[in-house]
Amino acid sequence: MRSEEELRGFFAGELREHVEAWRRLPRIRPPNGIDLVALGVAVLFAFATQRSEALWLGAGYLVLRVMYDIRRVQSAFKQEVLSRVFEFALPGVQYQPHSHIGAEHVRRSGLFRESWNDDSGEDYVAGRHGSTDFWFSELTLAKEKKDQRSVVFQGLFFIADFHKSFRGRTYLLPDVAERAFGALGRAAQALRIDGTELVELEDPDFEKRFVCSSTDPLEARYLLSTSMLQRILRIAERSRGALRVSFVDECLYLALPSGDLFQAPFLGGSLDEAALLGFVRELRSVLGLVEELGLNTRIWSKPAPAEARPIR
Amino acid sequence: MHSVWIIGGLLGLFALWMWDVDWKWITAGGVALLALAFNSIVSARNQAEKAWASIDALLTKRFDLIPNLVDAVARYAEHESEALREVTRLRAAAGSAPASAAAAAALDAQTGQALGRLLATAESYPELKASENFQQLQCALNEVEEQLSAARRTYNAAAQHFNDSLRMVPTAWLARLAGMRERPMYEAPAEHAARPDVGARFRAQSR
Repeated sequence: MRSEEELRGFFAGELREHVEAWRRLPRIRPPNGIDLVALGVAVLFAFATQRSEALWLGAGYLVLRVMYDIRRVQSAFKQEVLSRVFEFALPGVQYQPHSHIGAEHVRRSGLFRESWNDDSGEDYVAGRHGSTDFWFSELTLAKEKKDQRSVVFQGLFFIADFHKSFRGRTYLLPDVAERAFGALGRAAQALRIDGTELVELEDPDFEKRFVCSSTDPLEARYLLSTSMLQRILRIAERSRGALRVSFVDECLYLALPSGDLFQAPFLGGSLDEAALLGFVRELRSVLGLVEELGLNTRIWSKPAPAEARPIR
Repeated sequence: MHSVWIIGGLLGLFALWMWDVDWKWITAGGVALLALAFNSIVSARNQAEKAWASIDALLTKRFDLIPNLVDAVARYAEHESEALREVTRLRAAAGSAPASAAAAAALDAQTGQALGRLLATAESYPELKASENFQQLQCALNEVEEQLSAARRTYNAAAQHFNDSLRMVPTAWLARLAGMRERPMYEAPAEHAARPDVGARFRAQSR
């Protein structure tokens, strides 16, 4: 990751023309023929029928049009400016503002036992930090049924190549049953239908927060060393919602409830050096997970991959 | 964990008795409950035995690494004969199975200490430190150390679970009838408690 000094130099030099080009973009475009026709029809209809609903439809059209323009400008910022900032800050990084981690990876992680049928998101970032390949994006999972939509998860979905080899599946999910029903809840948790066993870990604080299950309890303890338990607990304590972690296919999957990751500006004047550095800090704070979890410590037999690979 | 279900079952039987259910159904339920309770103790004992077997297998794996490690170190550090001799002696001692869990834990701790001292010799031999073979052995050893640590924790959790079922009513009565005894926890003796951390040493060397 580049230093702030290098980043400042980059903002003042190479990036400048791209920022200026983005600033020159028209914010709210003047009405075109389609807009005039749509508004004209709404006004005429309102006069002809003496009903005000048509005017409301016209106003709604205007609001949608403004929202579209805001989205267009923000999207251009991410595409033209932010992607260059990230590429400079962490060479080799891949940033796709309109993509997100695919549903097949979310399902493979096994992090969500609740049913969901709609996935959306943005700000997909993939690359390598130190010796660790990572992939993350904002993600929203929801269940849509008839007219109802309930959000199952909203936040950061993070995947990283784990530094130890393993074959089984291990899950750390919020301990809802034990919190609600005590010993009975814990007894119920032990009845598992997903081919895993309940693993009781030594740390009582950790046990209060998570329920650990694994296809191989010994391997689970190999992955969750006492220091790893502390690290995960620290992240969970900072999290604004229930943290979920799994270890599947030699990767660590982490779902961290959060707000918007990279909020793009709309007005050109609000974009200065501090704002640009803020985006890099946000990227750095996500990648801090790699360091915090000690994933760059490669002292086991599993070698670091030769080159960053696309997500499997 | 099973004790919750067993106590629940006993309460269920009591409820059946209160509702004047036929005695043969209550007896059948009682027998099923006894079988469940007994099976839960046997299952806990098997888990502890399985975990013990894992420790045993990993200790063997670690001992199997020793000859290669000794060869690699001896090639560069002939003068460090004390550390080499100690590791070789412990490797030979591992040939005969330890008489008890405490003896196994002591041998485990001594070996860990001796390996730590042997790895410390690499500090004085830059060529040894840079040797690819030595680095691979360190990685393998580090992995085994972590797996061993996990196996110890797994065994202790399983032994704790088994011992709990031997102390709790009603499983304690059945265990006493079956002549089952508590399993010892796997703890390093006090004099070996400050065992060197091979991983930390390797991390320091890798910097």
